[in-house]
Amino acid sequence: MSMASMNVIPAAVILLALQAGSAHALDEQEQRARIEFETKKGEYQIEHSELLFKDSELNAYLQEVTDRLFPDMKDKLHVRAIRDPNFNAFAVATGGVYFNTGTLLRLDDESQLASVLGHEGTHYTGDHMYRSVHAAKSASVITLIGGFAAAGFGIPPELVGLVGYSSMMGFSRGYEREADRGGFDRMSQAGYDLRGGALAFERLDRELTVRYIDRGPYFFASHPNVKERVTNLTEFGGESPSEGEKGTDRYLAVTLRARLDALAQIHRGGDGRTLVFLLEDEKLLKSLPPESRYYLAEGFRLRAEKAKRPGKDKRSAQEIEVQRASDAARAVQEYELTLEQAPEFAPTYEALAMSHYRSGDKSRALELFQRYVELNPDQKQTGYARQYIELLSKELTP
Amino acid sequence: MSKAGIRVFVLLAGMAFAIPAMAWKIVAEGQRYTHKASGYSIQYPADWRYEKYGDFSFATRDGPCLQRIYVDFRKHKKAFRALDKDATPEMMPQELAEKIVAEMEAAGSLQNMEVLSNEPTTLAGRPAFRVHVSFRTAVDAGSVRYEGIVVGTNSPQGIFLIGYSGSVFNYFARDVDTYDKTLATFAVAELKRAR
Repeated sequence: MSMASMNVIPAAVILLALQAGSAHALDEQEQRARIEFETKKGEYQIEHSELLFKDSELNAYLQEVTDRLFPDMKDKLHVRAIRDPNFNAFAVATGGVYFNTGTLLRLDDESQLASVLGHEGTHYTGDHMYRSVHAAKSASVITLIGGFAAAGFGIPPELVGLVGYSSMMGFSRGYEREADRGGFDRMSQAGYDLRGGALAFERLDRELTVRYIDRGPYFFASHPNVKERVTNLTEFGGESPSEGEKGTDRYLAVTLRARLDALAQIHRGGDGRTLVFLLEDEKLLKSLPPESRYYLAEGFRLRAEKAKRPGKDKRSAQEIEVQRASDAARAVQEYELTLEQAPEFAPTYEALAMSHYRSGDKSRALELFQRYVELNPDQKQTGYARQYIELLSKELTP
Repeated sequence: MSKAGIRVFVLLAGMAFAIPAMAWKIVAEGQRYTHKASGYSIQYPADWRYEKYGDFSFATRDGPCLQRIYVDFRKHKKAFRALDKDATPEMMPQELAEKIVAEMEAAGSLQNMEVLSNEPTTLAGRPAFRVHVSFRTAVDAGSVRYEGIVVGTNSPQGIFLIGYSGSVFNYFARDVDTYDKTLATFAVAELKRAR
């Protein structure tokens, strides 16, 4: 949570105390009307933001899987993809379910997708949004606390209004367990491979460890914690051994554009650690086009550049330097491999040229910059490369 | 927020409350502001108010939270404090641009930050970069939409960053031309001895 939000918390607490004392208790009908009003307001904001991932084939597919899980809820549950590279999904009281492109990137197949959709749909069928607000006594408390939590966890501003009225930050442990069970039963009835959920959360657990995250807007980061969720889903699976459907091919085909978009967003955010974690998994890398290996190389480069200095890291200076040097070398290896596997993909040439320029191999750098400019006709994108070509040509001319 | 983070935020979003109380001066027609330590000079727009804060100076017409043009001079050592990284006199514009973008991202206070363009240009006759970004302030700072442009170049004495940022609502687009005219007035005198 940012310092600024910490400073305003005491004021908010006073405000809440005043509200609690003065507001009359809402009856169920009023409370439901209020939740519906706030939810529709939040959904209107999402609808008019740039958060929605506009891919009609993908949205139709997500809806199809949801309808298969919840045949009794057709026309009540509506799923949309959201452009966000983190692992999250949430349901709201009107039946809307919002699914991050970052979650799609981290799942292997339709059975894993069904495990998340089944869980979220159960929050709706279980009336968890109303029951949670009712348990908190005051919707104002929910909104304000949710707002502060969202600010601290970097949730997009367009979603903040929904934090208190959705499953975004997780519900009580009991409700989350109920959603696990409900989702699992729905998967079973729909004929999906029941190991999907446990596998997806095992990967999430490893990612949270690698990224040093112990709390966050991650779907199961704390309600209950991911390890407990994996245990639950594995136990449920043990009760009903599965030979169910995985739906890998169709999942990978329909979600490809969204997964690549999430990957590009992680790259733009400079998060080398996450890129390396995700793409070192050969299974995920092979599910993407060959040029995606470029992002793995970039992950190693970014991780090497962000290697921390002694004092901010528990490792010794020597250990950090060994890791940095190893990452830098691995980046070059991966760029070279990308050139072999996707020789027409221009960005690799520029990145490798920069690497050689920095290491002092200027003639190889010049060659690669020239190839980059040949492959990429966009004058704006190649502006820096042309600057380097001019400089190196002068420098290397005898 | 760290000091380095505050610096990035101040530069881009113009949070006046983070800056100590200051006495604004009004820019006279043709008046140049000179920074002796680094040798740069610039002519801020006439009738705008200007002030200096450490190694950076800035000017605004309507208020620093609404729009501002600034010059930030950084010595190479610890040039990118938010990243805990130094610059070197050999760094090319593209490398500087990457670091500046990474620094904005590391600030954490700029949400939904997006690089709209990043391209080479010249500044005072030197190879330079021009980065255009959009972002929002944090929810607890009003979630205000901003755009910012930073033009930067390297020199033996350090890095020069000439930036402009403004609220998307009403201000940013209006004063971009003024910023470009101000950029054209930027000059760096050759120093006898690099500091």
